[in-house]
Amino acid sequence: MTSPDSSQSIEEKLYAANRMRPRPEFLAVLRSRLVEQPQRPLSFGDRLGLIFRRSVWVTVLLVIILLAAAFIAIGPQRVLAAFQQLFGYIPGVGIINESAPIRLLAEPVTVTRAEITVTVTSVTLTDDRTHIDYRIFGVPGSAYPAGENVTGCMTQPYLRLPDGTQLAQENDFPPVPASVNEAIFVLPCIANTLPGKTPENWQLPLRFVPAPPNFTVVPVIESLPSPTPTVLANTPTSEINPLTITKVLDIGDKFVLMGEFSYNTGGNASLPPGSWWAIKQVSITGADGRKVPQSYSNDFEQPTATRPDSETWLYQLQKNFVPPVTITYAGELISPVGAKEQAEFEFDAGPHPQDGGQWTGNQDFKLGGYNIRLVSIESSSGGYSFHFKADPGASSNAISVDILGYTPNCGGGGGGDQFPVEFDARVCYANMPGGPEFPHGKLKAVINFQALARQNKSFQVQWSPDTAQTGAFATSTPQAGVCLDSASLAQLKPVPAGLTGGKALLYEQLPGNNQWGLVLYNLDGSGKQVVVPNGNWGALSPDGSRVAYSASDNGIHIINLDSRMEKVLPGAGGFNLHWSPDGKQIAYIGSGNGVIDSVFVVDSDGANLRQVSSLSYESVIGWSPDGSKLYFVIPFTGGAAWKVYSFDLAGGKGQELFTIENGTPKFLDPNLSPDGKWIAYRGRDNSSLYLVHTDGSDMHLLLDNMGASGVAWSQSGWLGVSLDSSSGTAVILLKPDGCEAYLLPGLHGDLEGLSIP
Amino acid sequence: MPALSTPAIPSAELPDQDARLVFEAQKNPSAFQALYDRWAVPVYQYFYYRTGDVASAEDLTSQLFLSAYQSLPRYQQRGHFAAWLFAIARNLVRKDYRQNQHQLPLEMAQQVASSLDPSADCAQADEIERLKRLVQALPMEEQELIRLRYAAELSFADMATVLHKRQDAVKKSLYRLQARLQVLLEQTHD
Repeated sequence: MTSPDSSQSIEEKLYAANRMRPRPEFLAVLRSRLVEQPQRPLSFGDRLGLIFRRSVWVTVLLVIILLAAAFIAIGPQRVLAAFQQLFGYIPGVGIINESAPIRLLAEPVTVTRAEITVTVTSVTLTDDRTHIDYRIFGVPGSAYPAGENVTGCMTQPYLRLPDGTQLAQENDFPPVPASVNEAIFVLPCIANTLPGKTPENWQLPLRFVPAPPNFTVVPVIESLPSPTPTVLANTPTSEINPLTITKVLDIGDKFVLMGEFSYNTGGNASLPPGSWWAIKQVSITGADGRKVPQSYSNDFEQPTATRPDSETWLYQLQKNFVPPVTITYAGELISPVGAKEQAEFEFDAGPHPQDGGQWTGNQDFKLGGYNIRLVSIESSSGGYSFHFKADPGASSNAISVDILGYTPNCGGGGGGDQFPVEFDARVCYANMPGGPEFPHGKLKAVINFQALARQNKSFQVQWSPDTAQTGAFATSTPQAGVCLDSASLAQLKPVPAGLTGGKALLYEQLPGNNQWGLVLYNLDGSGKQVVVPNGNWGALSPDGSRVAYSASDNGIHIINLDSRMEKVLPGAGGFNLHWSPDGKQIAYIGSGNGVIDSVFVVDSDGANLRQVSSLSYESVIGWSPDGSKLYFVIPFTGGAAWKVYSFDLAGGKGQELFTIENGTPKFLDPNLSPDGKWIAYRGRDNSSLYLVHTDGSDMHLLLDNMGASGVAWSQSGWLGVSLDSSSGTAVILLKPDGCEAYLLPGLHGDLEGLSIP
Repeated sequence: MPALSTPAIPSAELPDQDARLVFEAQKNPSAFQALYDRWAVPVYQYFYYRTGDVASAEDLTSQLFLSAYQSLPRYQQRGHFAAWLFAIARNLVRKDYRQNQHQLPLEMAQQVASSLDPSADCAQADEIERLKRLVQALPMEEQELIRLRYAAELSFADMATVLHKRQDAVKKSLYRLQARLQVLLEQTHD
């Protein structure tokens, strides 16, 4: 066998043979879509949609043909009833063929070895799949690789039937024959753990029983848009509407709407060639102008686009709106104008550019009529970042940098959506042994400038449910205990003058550049102070005098808000910072030295750094009012469930309290009220906010599907919450007991801290 | 109860780049742009050489990143972000293949736009085209090795994760394949 070194030239040729640069316009459009998409399941392009498995689609088509014949023979009502009985929806599983028997796991099965527990919590068996939910708890962080250069075990689990047949997992498992009512769930290893660090070859015996008569299967009614969606007046009739609705499902308490948006302007002869749509905002409103509440689940996959250059979308709308529903895509038509311009420059990166290397630019260029100054260049292990300062409006055009003689892996730049005068253009390269060479030495680079014209555009479609088919529905009444929902946000009054003496610490984008940082405001939005221009995970001390934060190097800093003196806590590095009630200690999540995201505590002067737990991916909840206990959560591996623990700091002992089963699989963001009464946390839909006592009792929904993101308590018992929506971030204040609530109209960032006397 | 370990003082070291970007993206959605910037072209290249056409590659790239954006919470920072991303990619292209029966005929390999510098000499361009045709004639499993390494630009560790194989086995397979292609390339040289 030829040794790797002698095949170096063939490697370079293989790299060259696999180079294919995508269209810059395509990259830019997709980038802008991701920028504008709130990270919650409420906006356009939500990729968790519906696709029938192919066998079910074929079945659906045959059924539709048969139904059409049956309509004629026996009348629509009886046919509809029959159709509704065929397909059902099981939350957590998806669309199933209800005419086939459904079986379930007889009882959950748990195996514990070496303090690690594997549990199969549920199994649903239908005629086309076996859906298994399982979770793992107790895997120490030391069992996982420290970084990506080491592989842990990736062998997939399988089902072993009594006759020895093995069913391998691909999304779900294949169906189990109806005559087989038991199987062994085999987990060869815990995903990505290192050999020898955890027990292997787990075997859990499963037993299946018929689903009981009261097992919930939601009937599904599928329809093409009915009536035909209307293209509304503000869409020019000379243009083809790129926005369409392709299918609607009624799955009980929700409608699932699916459609497409075509970014290809080629079909529109009236539009300049090379143009593309950049969608900035998607809104879904009812006839009363209110936003339609949406929900989120993992049960559906995104459908496939039927047109070229199209993106599919899917929304799950709660049956809580006044029809018709109007879907609005608002954005820009972006068109290249004139020829591309270029300017060259040189810089010496040195023979071995290091991560974080910096060079001064101080070169001026005139491109597209704009003065553009190259301020500085920075290298990282991925590539180079070129920092520019230009005339206002320059960054609204397409600006990129290429280094001559090197083929990049990525590139792009500009000011994003807000076209600041200072912006970066990045270009990156694979920097692996045998990969394309990382640019070094004396380099020639080219600034590419393409002028762009932008024209605001919006498109709309309307849809109404066929109430004769689905039944009339009305605005639902809020659950008991819920303080606010998306409908009530618009009615909130601004914070009264008596409360405006407080302060709010927000994480938000800073003006003039693309940086994000920590900013302190009065509650009425006045008194803005940028506390940390490039810090994150801010935490206000209980007396409001200091801010602890995680710096860009992962170090923990404390800044005094009066003196602006700042200190670094030596040896402490992490995030998710929580001050003790007396302001003398900070609990945080740290990593390193074989630890992945475990709980640490350090004194606020940097002394007495100690580790509290050693599992992984944990989050701090908060301190007991007397500072003697620390609360934190540890997630299960697989399944969005979290175990809540208290830890006695003096005794060094921990206690498992209860399990949160309805939390978000994203950042749970649990926060304990200073009086120790309530834990606030983000719900499964990644949008709602729940409260629960520290003993697990009285868990209830507080904010219903409102885009809850940042959460902070004040010492006086006010709960502050940032709410994300497609139109921006709002911050509210409320007292959970009694639901007294106010809007903080001058605040729009992610809430990190709250101080109210 | 998680044990109280010996008080090892962790250094304030930076997590690896992708892991940090994922953390930032979970906290601040706009940070996902950095992940996108890093992986958009390798993802596109992988899809392009799997499907053979620009439209499919763009469609699949869009699907992947929008799916990854929404699925990011299920990636729980256990290393191998790239492997996770390309596991999704392989699933997507498998579904796309079943629906659209993508095949890149051998003769189309000649029409695939070359990304070589236009100033490269003709002999080099011809050799690259011959290499492309040779790769297209390989069994699918070997084509996938080539695509993951040279189009997607994955590390051996990530390739092993994606392919569910041991890292040393992936390396051996690829090096043998390189040697074979070298010989074939020389044999087909006019």
